[in-house]
Amino acid sequence: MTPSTLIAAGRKVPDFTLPSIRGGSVALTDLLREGPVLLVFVESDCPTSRLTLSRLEPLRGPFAEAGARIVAMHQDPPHVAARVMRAAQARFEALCEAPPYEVSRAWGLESVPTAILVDRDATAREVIVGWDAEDFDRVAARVTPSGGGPPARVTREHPARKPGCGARNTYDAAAPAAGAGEFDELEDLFERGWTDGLPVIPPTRERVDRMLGGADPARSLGPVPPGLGEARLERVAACAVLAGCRPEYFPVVVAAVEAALDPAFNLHGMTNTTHSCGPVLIVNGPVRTAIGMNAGINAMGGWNRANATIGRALRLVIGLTGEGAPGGLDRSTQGQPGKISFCFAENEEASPWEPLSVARGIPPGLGAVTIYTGDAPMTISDHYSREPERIIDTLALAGSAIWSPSVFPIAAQTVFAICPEHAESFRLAGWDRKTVAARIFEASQRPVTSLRRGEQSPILSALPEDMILAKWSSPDEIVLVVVGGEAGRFSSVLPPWVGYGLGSEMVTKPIGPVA
Amino acid sequence: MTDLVSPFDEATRPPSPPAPRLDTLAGRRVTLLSIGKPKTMEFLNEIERLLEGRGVVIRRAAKPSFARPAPREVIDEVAAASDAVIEALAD
Repeated sequence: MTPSTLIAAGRKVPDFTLPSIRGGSVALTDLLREGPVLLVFVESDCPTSRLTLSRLEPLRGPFAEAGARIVAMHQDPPHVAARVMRAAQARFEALCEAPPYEVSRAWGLESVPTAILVDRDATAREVIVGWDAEDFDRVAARVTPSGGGPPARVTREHPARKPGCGARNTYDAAAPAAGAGEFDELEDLFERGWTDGLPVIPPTRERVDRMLGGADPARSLGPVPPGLGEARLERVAACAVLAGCRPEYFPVVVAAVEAALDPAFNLHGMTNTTHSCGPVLIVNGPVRTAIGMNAGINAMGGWNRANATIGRALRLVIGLTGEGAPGGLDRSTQGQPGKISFCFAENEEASPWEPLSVARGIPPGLGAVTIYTGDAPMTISDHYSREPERIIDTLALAGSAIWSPSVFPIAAQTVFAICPEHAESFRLAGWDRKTVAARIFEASQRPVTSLRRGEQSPILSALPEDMILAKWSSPDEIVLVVVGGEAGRFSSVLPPWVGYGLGSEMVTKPIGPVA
Repeated sequence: MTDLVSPFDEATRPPSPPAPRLDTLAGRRVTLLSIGKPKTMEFLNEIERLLEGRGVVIRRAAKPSFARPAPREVIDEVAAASDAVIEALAD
């Protein structure tokens, strides 16, 4: 076994000067002038480090009364260290070390957390590796002589002991020092975790103020499930900046967040589910053209700034403010690319029908955003049919595969995105929204005997073979939106999340000035 | 560093401490809580079978939807009537 390099109790310790998360630099000699110091070496990826910081916070007061202090020694950049301290609710001093971690190396650090109690004469008196409640109690007793009251102690909560992690100086000390000296603001945002995995725009105070356009930054749209961070307008604006929105998109983003926070939408469930659905935003009204949204060619496929960034801004509000990031509180088994951003405008100009927003009760001429828990669109080709009945059959057959092919009915609102050419066939037939929805519903009907392959739920298993079922429980569940370019007989279905009133209801909110 | 506006709610919410651990199962009221997903009942039935003969007072409760948080009244009712809860998750 390799002998330990860690500085031992009884040895003199080397001095250092390191930056503080509060700005400026701090030297060990200056700290020791005021009294003993418990240095706690930590790093952000180590759960034991984070646990130790939070569990030492209650000792901060008793240490201060005894003229001593606790100082966290982070192997992280200042902004990361600041976040770790905030998360741990630890309010003691925090210093930061950058690669190649010369202080950690000089102290022979091997793992984190490592806590070293240094006396005023710069001698190490106690060394604790990992979390050990008894050891910290001993240090507390040594530093804070009990004046008759109960001794300062750390929590008795489980775990009493927990090993730590390898210290960064042991594995990436040779990493290029570029990161230490040169600050890259885009890389910084990745380190903060303020991203969906794509580059983001730094939400500087100036950019956020421009996004707010005079709106009250402190006004909250409510807590964002699942983590329940408050959607203060300032944070929503920060997400809009991160996503790349222009300020004129902000009213749409705010309406989208309001729609997502409507209890009927069930953002909590949509985020936590193992299903792949995500928020789909459909925009109606004059705002579409005013901010340059795309309702035509490739409208659901990005490459339009408004479409791409409004949907992304909502995802960032959910994932960051709402702490609903995948792998954390978002438990989607597979996910799908629409969870990066899924926002488009209805092609009202090519539609034979009233706008979706109007069909959902918003007065004509007003901007509105409709939110839906949708899965990735499945494109449905029908190039030969000119008879609307045949197009309906094609849509119904394809739509019957969604959720799971043998599950009838799914009892969930389902969006069919109708292309302008198919919409024109329906216009020529004089079919309105209700007629098309009713015909898709009817065309989906089939006998139970045809559903005997694939998944068999207990309910389906018990049904008689000759019973006729439709894919939906009512034609009202079929929602039509017209979108896409003028050429191409490709419509699509946006499969829904769970039905039967368990999941989510579509919500439409008007878009207005943000104050 | 530039002044950046955080998208996170940095307000610290105190963590809820875990309930005290049971020192024994004998005579304790244990609620088996179904979240209503497929195969939940198979799971809970097996748990109940494993608890048989250990003096546990077993009761059942259920969430109305696995896709939404439990309503407050369900949480309150379960908390009041139980020394421990085993929640069946999913699938």
